[in-house]
Amino acid sequence: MSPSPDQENEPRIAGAGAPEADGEAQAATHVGHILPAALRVSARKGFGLVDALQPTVIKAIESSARSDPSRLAEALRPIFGIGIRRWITGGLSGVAQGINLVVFSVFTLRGWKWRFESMRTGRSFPEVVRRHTATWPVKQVLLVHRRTGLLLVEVRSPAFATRDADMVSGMLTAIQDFVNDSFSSGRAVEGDLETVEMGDMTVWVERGPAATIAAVLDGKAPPDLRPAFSEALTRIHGRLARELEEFDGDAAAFERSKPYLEAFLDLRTPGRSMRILPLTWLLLLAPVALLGWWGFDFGRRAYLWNSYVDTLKSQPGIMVTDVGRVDGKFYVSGLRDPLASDPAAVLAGSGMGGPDVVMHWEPYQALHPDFIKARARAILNAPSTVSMDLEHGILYLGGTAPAAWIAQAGNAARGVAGVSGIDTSALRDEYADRLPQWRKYLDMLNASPGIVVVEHGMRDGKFHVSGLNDPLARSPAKILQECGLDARDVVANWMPYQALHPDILAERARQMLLPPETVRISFQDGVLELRGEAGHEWVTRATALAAALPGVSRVVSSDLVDRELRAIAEISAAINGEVFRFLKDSPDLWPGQKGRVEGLAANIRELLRTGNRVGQRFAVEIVGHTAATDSEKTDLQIGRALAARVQDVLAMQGLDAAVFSTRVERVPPAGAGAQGEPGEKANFVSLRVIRPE
Amino acid sequence: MKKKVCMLGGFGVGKTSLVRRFVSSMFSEKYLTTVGVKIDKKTVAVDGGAVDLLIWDLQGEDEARETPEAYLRGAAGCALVADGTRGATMDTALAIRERVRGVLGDVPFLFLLNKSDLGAEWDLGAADVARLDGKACAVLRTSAKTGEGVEEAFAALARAVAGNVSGTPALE
Repeated sequence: MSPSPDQENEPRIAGAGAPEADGEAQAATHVGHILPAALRVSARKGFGLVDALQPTVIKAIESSARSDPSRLAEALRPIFGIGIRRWITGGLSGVAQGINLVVFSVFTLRGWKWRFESMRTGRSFPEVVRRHTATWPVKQVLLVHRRTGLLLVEVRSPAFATRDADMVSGMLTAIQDFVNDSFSSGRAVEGDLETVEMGDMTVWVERGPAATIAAVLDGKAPPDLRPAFSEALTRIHGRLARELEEFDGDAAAFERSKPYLEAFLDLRTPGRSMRILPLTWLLLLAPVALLGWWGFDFGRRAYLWNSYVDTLKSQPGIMVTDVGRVDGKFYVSGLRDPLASDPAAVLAGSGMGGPDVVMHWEPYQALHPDFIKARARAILNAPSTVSMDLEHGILYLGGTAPAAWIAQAGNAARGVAGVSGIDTSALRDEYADRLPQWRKYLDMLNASPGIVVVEHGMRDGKFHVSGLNDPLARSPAKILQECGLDARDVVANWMPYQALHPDILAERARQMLLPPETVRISFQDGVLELRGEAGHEWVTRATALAAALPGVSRVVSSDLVDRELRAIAEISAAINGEVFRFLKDSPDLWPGQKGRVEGLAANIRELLRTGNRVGQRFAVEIVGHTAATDSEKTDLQIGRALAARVQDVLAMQGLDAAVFSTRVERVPPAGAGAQGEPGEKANFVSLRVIRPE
Repeated sequence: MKKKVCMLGGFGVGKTSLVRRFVSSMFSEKYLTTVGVKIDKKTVAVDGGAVDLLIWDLQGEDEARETPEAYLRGAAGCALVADGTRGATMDTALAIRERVRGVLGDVPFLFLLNKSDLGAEWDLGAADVARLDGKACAVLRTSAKTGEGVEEAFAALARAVAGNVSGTPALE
């Protein structure tokens, strides 16, 4: 049977036959049995046990601290935890109050007013603030014996009415015990019930080893008040330790603790009027908000970075080999095929800031089918009309391409990584099908006046033609249509020019001169000939323009009739043929001649109108002919009278007198006889169209 | 002089009624069913002096519920109450006494046999009372209904906790 732990810890006895040792062991067992009860009795009866044990206990603690500090620290940890928590809470609250005071003094009108008061009175600013805002939050303080729950001392402000303090302290103790029993569940808990709040009222409980302070507060108390309670409690314990230990119901001795408690009743502290200002909240919360924003931004950037790296990894031709952070920046490195997506471009679309990312890429050739085909296309310089497929390393080419390219494609593909063979059987010569139409098109272009083909050929799967094209020639596009070629297969480049082909020249003359239908234009050996008839204006303009046409060395218009000039000649002839005769020795016209006057007047008016149209002025000279039989003077008078007579007759037809001029011409008798009637003198009047200077 | 005393006993023995007969209570009796204790105060004259009794009226006990030790700590004396019409409550009171002694040590115990007004139903005999010999500073018959023995009981308790115990336990 193995010994029990208790037995093992008992002092060892040297031998069964050692009576001294045996007696010592028996004595130890006996003392050990009664020692706990003896200690309790001694403590209760006040036999000076504390004084007796103190040196030993202190030495034991010192020895324990030296041999195993962690053990003592562990034992004290709950106490430290409570103390540190209180210190931090009080400190933070103090910081808030301090910031609030600064904000209040700087940013409020009342703050400046009180600051002025501070300068005027010489008091410190915090003191002035306290004087204006102080309240007395501590209404009642109870000192309660912890073991019995009996009230030791009570102090309270005069205006504060309360129930019997003895019963209140008892009930408060009961409630503390109740809370401890209810929530500790048999475990050792750190601390005790510390605060009871009812609306604006607060009960603070500060517990010491033998006594408890319970303080009734109205409203918010300054954060440094609780440490003050703790300090007061410590002092009371120090001063009344024995009385607390030996308390048996007589509380008279504790009157000495009243000054410590009454000090709290005189406390003044900033009250409700010194609320935390919004700006103070802002200053207090700003670091929290900044920290929150930083955390959010950190998380967001990490998420974006992971998404970016995932995107890179999914890109063909990119192999990510290393990801991390260097000097506060994101870092990624790996291999990249030059044909792969640009990581910087992917980054730009990821939402990450470019300056935050460092990347390093080594080039390599990826054997992704798309990249092999892209490289093959680049190396072969394949036309866009060529399609590519890759299967088991064989590059299959399809579509159309120039024959020369097809011929060399097989050899060129050997240098492409990832291509072991090439199949061009599906490739077709891109021009073979359309060659007849192309030749026909060129022939028709060459045969067309006004079109000069300078260059033609086949390139990139298309037919190319360039040259000169007179706008008056046939349209090359129409010729293309006639040949059956698709306009999309032909790239044409035509420069405009003026052709000197006779047909084109004649056509150009027609388009320039715009001849009426009565005019024919022909061109031969540099001579432009105009035939037919036209108005004076067109004739004048056309003959001038025609001479300036390129390729025209001479203009022939001899067979071109000017209608207005022809009419003027015909009318002038009619007027010039008019003769008026008179009865003998009378100014009266021969009978029947008056009827001709209207026709003559009409001719004269037409002459004047036509003359205006062609820019020529005309006049009519009325010549009075007299037979030179009488004296010259008489003849002249007669001649003038006859001419005046005709002028009057014409003036009566509405003709302007300025149109006319008169003259007298004496005629020999023989001549007169030939012109006049038989037996009469040869007096008559003739008319002549003249052009005045 | 202030003394904490506890009223102890089984359920329904009349502890609270006795206290109510003795003192006009300040706190509501609902504390008994919530916190498990109600505290009253009565100043009792003892030999020319006065003792302030802080009476902790504790919720009745049974097998399922024991009074928390914390409520007992610091008590200078206890009044154990039994219902004279139910003999079993005497056993409960004696069991409580033993447990309280374990916590408080040798403090004065006063034994109250309550409901003396129900004489016809009385269930305790001389043999039962004899069981209390040496276990109480006084044994009294009380009636919360008629007030019989109530004042005397608390006066005896006050004397006992004030350290002025006189005479031997006697059933009046």
